Amino acid sequence: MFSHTFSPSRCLALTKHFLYAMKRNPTRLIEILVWPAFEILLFSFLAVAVTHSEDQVLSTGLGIIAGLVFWNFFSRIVQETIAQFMDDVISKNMQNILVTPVTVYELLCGLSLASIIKMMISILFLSLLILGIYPSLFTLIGVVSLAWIAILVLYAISLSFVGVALIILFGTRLSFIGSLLSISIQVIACAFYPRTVLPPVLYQLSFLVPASYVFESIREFLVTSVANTSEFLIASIMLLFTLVLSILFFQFAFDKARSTASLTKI
Amino acid sequence: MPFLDKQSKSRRKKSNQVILESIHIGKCIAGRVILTDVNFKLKEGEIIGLGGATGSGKTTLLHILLGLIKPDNGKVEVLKQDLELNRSQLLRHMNFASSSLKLSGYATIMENLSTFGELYQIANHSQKISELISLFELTDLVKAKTKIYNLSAGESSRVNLCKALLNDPPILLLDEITAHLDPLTVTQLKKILNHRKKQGHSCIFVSHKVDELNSFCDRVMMLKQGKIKYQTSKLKGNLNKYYR
Repeated sequence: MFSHTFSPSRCLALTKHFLYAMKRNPTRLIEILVWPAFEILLFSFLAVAVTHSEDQVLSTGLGIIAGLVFWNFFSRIVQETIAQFMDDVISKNMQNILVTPVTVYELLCGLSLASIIKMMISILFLSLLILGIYPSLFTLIGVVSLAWIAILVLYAISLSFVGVALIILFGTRLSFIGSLLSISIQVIACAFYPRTVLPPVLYQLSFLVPASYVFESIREFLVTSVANTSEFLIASIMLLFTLVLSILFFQFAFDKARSTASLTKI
Repeated sequence: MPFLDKQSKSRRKKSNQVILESIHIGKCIAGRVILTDVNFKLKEGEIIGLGGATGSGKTTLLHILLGLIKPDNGKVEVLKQDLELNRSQLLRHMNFASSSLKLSGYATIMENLSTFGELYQIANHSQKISELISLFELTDLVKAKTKIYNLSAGESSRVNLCKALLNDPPILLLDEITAHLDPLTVTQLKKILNHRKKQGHSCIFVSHKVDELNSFCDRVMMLKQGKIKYQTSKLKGNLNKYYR
């Protein structure tokens, strides 16, 4: 678990393993298909209303709903990735996995790939839904939103690594950590308001959060219809930084949990 | 058990070689001394029984041997290599089953065993899984695509044993695995362990049941307050001295 070897086949085996729960437990499909579907419908109706109106309130509303849709998407990935890990903890299977030749990096990679596949299914479903209802809306924001989604997915995954690391350190009493992490980051991710409304300290902190660049870009795009590539570039750099830090934190938590024996309590 | 024969042919020639060694292992957890200076050697083809009162440190010792817990003192050597330095590689030669663990609840028996077959990178794992399923009489449950959540404790232990034997491990660690097993399966397990022994495979068998420790194992180590207090070929006489 601690050596630096990496086996793609073990990583794929774990990805398949984490996807079995979705296959065998249809209620998990509601999380990734039904909830986002209603949110995207809400967004679509408001977007259509705005395009037929000069009303400033509606325009602001569109920005908020866009923030809501993308934020919920982000938050769901964090929770789903942690839930995948918790499935094995609750089943009492995690120890069985940890005594195989699997390394930390393979475990993280397996968790991430399973989440990405689930989100791709979700995105495909939502895209078809938008295409069926408002094809013009899809061409308006469809392609640009893929770049934002990619940043949000990877940022959510890095945040879920921190969540899983905390569960490893402090046990299953922290199983709610996904919601807590999402809600605490939400303040400085600026999903529903521009960065400028934040007090000075939080304003500075928001620059460290890749999601804040995404939400700033979304609001700008809804007004100007022009994608801000420099914001995307900065978000990508911050994302890389965050991913590396979260993996290092996971490794630290794992080693610590071996020393304190808390790894055997999950 | 045809698959058990294949990998072990080269090992059969060797004998009395130390395959796993616990060297001055010590561990404190939350300020409580769990293990103190635990030394022992597991040889090829040997079955060691590990007994002791509840809280004597048996499971903690197994967890240290698997690298799940890092010892405060000492080290574990597997195949003459430090487990801490090469854990991922060395775990290929080990496996573990515990009555207190289960495989993934929402997945079926076959899906779970396939996952572990891939994690241990076993060539043609489907065939090995089929043989083990037949050996532990799980065929009907597999055909019915039963999920682990729906298995009884005994059935779940049999699935755990399939998982533990999947990579034909030279070192098998069993933690109270007979707790939920019926007598017929216990007899079957004894036959399997004896068969493995002839192939040069070793086992550490943790149990509270004195008759099992005596009948399954070449020697029995009794842990008392974190130390190996007794090593004997058979537990006999007044058992109080071993446990209290």
